[in-house]
Amino acid sequence: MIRRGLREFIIIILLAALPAAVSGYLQLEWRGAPQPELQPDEVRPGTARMWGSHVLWVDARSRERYDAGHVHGAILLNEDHWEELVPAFLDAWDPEKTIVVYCDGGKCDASRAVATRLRDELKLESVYVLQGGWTAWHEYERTHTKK
Amino acid sequence: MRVVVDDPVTVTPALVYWKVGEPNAPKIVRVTTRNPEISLKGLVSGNPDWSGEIETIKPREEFLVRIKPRDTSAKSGAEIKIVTDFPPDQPRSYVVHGRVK
Repeated sequence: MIRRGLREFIIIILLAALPAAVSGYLQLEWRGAPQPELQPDEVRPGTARMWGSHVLWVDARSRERYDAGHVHGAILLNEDHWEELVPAFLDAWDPEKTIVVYCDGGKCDASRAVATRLRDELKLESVYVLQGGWTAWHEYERTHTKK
Repeated sequence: MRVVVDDPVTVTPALVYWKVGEPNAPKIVRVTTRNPEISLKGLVSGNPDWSGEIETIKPREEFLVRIKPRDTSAKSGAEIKIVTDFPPDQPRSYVVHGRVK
């Protein structure tokens, strides 16, 4: 009687925990490793991927780094060649799309600097920085793309 | 190392845009200077279908630039230079971007 009650209790607890575990896996990309705290203007690779075609990607790195590889459809826009690159960015820009800026990752500041200029100078809203940058995106694609 | 030089001229916003089909009423860009030696000399539009005018609010201090496309029935764009008179030997200009999206 007690064993049966205990078994039912465990089943109920497991059933209650299941939705939370699924939600954590899907939304927080929980893979066991702790993720850095998300700043208000940052977005994680999984979320940006979920936004799909509603994103305009901006690569804030040098042209050499961009040419070596970039997020599909990303526009090159960096601070060193700002004036020369802004017109092409604006030609591709769509007011309905969310802008996600990235740089190499780790401690690079280029994406944040470009995002700040987009907000302050061009008064664009809905501008995010990709947490972990190109490195995190590359890793996300590697682990989430079926071969 | 990056050296940031404070610019005595502020242009805001640096982008004005209209949605396709929206009335082509002028949009306003505010230009302020913190150096009384600087004034605005004129505008140079990179697209003949886009025009603008400068209104002086406070001489050598505050200006309004009104920009508009000829029509908004289709997507278009222009880079419009706001030309100053400073420094005299090589006057600086500032770009405002206009787009119909």
